Amino acid sequence: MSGEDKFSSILKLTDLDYINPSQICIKPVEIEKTKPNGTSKIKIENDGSYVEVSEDGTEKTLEKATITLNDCLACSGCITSAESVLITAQSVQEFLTNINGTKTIVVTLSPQSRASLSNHFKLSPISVYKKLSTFFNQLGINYLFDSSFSRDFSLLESANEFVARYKKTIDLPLPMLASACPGWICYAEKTHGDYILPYISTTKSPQQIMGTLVKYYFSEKINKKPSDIYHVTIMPCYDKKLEASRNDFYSDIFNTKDVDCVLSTSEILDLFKDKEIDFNNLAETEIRDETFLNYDRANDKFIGVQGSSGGYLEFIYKYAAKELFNLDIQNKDIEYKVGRNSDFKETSLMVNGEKIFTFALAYGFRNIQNIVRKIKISTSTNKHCGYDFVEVMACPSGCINGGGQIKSEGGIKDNKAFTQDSENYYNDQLMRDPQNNLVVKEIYNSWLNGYFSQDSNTKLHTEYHRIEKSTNALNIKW
Amino acid sequence: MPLELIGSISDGLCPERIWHVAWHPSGDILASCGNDKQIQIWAKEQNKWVLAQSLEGHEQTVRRIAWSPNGKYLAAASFDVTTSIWENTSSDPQDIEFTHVSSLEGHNYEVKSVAWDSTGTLLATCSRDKSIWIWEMQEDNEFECLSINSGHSQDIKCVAWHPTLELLASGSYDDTIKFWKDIDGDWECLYTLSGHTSTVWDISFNSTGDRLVSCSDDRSLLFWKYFEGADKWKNVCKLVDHSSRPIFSIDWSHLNDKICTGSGDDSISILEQDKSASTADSEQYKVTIKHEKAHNSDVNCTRWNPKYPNIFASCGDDGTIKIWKVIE
Ligand code: SF4
Repeated sequence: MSGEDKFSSILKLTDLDYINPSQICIKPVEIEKTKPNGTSKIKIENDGSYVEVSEDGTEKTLEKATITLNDCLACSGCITSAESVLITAQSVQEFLTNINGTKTIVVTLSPQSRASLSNHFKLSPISVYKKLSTFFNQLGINYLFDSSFSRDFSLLESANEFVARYKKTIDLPLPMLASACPGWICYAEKTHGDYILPYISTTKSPQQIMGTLVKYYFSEKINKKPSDIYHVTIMPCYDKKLEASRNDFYSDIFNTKDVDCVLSTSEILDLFKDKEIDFNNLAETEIRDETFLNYDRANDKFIGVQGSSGGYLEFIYKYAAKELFNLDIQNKDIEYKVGRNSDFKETSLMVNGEKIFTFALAYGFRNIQNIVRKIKISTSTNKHCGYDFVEVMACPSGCINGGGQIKSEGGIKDNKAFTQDSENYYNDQLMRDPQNNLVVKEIYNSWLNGYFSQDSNTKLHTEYHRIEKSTNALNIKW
Repeated sequence: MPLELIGSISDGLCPERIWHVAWHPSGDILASCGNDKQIQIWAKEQNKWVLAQSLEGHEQTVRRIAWSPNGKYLAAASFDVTTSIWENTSSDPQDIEFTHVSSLEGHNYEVKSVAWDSTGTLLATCSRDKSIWIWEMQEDNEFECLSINSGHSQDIKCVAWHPTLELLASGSYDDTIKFWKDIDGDWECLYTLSGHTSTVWDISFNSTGDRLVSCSDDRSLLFWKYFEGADKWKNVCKLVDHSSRPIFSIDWSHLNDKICTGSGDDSISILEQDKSASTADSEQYKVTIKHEKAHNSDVNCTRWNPKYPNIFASCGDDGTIKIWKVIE
């Protein structure tokens, strides 16, 4: 199955896209005309050969310059093998090969993938987890973690980063833009470069924080080297594969990636089919250790935050209101004004009739465009762009609707309702703010030296890099 | 019926290759663009066309330009991946004094075409990145992106709005024409017309918007008609081998229903519907004028004057702009 449609549409529109090379290749082919200054024309025959037609109508076939692989690699016109190589490096095949090796295997399941599987099999999220445990146990895998757990770190770091930006204790501007979506990050790096990157939160995404925790915290607990662990995540999109393969998340010292392989939700479904698994009838393995899970044993339920794309807006809003103005805000106090489409919402914190800050949700490519545009204009005119924090996500409806999620069988129309069902399954959990996660608290104390500390900055934050775009001036007739 | 050349602009004022010409709604001003990265605004003084203003700023070829329906704004699509918006800021509407007011970024590759809708609030742009962007103009000359449409599998060459409805048509290197419409906040592809066997270079609606004509690299012209009952656009006429080379431009006059085409064989043609030979499902269009050697090289664009019937402008790779009159 091709991975093409599993990426967010934002990547499909940028040059990370798989443009089929041959037909659209824009590499200007140098053709030697025989008459240097004549008014002869060159036409391309159906077989692709170039024919020079001189004024008197005589035709002459011309030598054609061939396009080499080197030309392709040096040209940003169409993406060549690089991304396909990357995708094969993170395939179900690769996963199956690696789990049969000597490494300790850790799988991290995202709550969005869990919800998608719940919806597909009409099972509660907890049943999905327990059955999945059984399935992975059979494959010899003993650790099945939950990225809601690492998301608590991501939320706390983001919120503290926001407060620091707001108080200007760090030299980074507002609005702060969420960083959890690699589709958006990739696009920002490729297209907007220096303009936009300083606005993007430096906090790692939940996937990459889990990567750090698994390879450098958990590994010590089980007395392993980081490179002795093979860490697999199950995520709602292929964009997460690109994220995992970033150089920033590779350690030269330990010669290992924080996340070795990313599988999409739909690939897990393929794996079930491959192994002829009747998922609904699998036994459920009881949860023994909830350390890397947000699990409430008494109620036998998972714990998470509101918002199937990570709940960044609401948590940072509440946290900042408390930290900056000592205001206690509940989720229900946050009232949204919906924009032109439901993927754009904004909300302001008012104190004594005065607007303190404004937060927005911008999902999907068009809403991202408008945010980027507003920021660019405000930078050039030195004005406030109107927002202090924006939860940016590449997919319309956010991660629950990610490109790697299981699709409804009824086509596009049906998919909206299907996505809503997944959302409902996502919400079948207890809600808890991340400060109240005692395990997270303990790790912050013992391993990170507190929120937004020097240690947490080294371990839980990252950098972005502008990607130079090669311009290829077109001189051909298009 | 012959074609009379009534005006010509060249004299080294123009770049080597002129891509596009666009008439101001008043019919007395003409804008052109080409590979010199500039936009030229020409005004008629006595019987001569003089350069009124040159708009500079694009870093690469300006491929197409479009006037807003009220003539106050000019939009330009460029290979430098941006679309620029210019406003006539002179207090006297007869005067020409354009200032750059906005630059629309977002396309990932060359912008190929730009078009304003009939109300002048929506702007569509299309690009080699295979996407169509719909922008809405706000009060302060600011633009908000309403939609990014993907559906074409290749480079999109042209976009054209329906003359009265909020309906957009696009023509592509993938040989198809697609129609786009806002459905509950999302722009969706309503119809895909297949028929051409190569790049669709240009499309044009008739004045009532129930017909569309398209020209192609496959050297044919296709006429499409909207059937309301079936809610379908159907091909009602096909003129194969209309030219010996690709046909780059087509324009359907909204004043008298004549159609002009510009081709890679350097010729310009005028067509008209043969009503007596047309039925509901099949229509006849015949070439009433074929003017060979209209330019010394490819004819890139032909556009009817929106005010004065039978007058149109053409431009080409030979770096000239010509104004023609159809003598009846
Ligand atoms: S919004 Fe979520 S699912 Fe979509 S690309 Fe971003 S991270 Fe992936």
